[in-house]
Amino acid sequence: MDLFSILDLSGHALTAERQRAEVVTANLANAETTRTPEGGPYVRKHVLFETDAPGGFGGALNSAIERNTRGVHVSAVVPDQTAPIKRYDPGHPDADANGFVSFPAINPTEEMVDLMSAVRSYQLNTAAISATKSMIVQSLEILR
Amino acid sequence: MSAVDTTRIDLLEHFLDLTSSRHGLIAGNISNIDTPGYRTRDMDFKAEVMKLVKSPEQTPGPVVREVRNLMERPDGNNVSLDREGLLLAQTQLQYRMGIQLVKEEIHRIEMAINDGK
Amino acid sequence: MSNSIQGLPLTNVDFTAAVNPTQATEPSGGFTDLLQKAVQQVDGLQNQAQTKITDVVKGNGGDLHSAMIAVEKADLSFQLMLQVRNKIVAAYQEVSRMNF
Repeated sequence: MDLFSILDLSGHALTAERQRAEVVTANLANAETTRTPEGGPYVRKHVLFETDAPGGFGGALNSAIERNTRGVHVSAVVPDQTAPIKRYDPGHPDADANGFVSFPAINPTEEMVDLMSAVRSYQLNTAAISATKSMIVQSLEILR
Repeated sequence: MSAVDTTRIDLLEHFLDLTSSRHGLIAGNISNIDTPGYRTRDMDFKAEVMKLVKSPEQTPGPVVREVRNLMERPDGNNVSLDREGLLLAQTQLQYRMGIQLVKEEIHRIEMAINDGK
Repeated sequence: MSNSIQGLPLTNVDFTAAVNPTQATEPSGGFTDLLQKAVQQVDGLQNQAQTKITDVVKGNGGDLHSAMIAVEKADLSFQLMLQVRNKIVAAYQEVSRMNF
């Protein structure tokens, strides 16, 4: 596989990790949001990563290399099915008839760990891009 | 007829092909480090280089396989940050070495053609 | 240039080390052929280099290092051709200086 396609591949991975970070950050920001335009508390979301189909970056599928060099993309942003957490607070503006307020089922610690993982993956993909870039530059040096 | 002997250059070019192909696999593994169920792929680099040295002409593409003995996370993904990071650095250096050797070989042939001028 | 060399009975012209040694003592009449073949080889290699570069630029999955190497091969082959030509010309000039 040629270096420019590999650059593309890593670039798309960065996009995927960034989307993941965005969703996690939104979860964190809305951990206490009890009211949304759609009605009800904020619903936690997470991303689904999926490996690209082979051959997505140009080049034929002739070799084992072409078939096995695959990137990644976000296939869907999925709402969490977990029921909201109910807390008893009759004075709250969003309390229901029984005095319970529904809060998003978001654990800030979990989300932070997820975010840190996204950051680390992002960094690793950045390292891959640096390596690819430097290899491209070195190739040009053949011509002095 | 008079011809430039490019056997060494051709060999080096194939070496560079191998190295950049492996680099692609590593980049692919890295990009899928968070994909549930993804299995790390790689080639047996040493074996592929030996194949190259033994028969430089018609080498079909390298064999790519799933890597064994990697720790698996609960979602089935077995990509190791450490392993891929290390191989990333290593492969990059191997590529650089290949380029250097190509440059030297070109220069050597040039000297031969031009009577050392 | 090739017209004036044609048919000249030259032997034992010393080519450079990179040249295939079994060709080094090919006698006359072969020189135009030799040069023509050299030019053809250069042409062929230059076309290959052009194709590889186009592949890279168009994003057809051409390897950059392959394109660079193809360019260098064409260049080396061109340099060799130049040297062959120079040697032929030098040999001709040397012979033409002789007094018969």
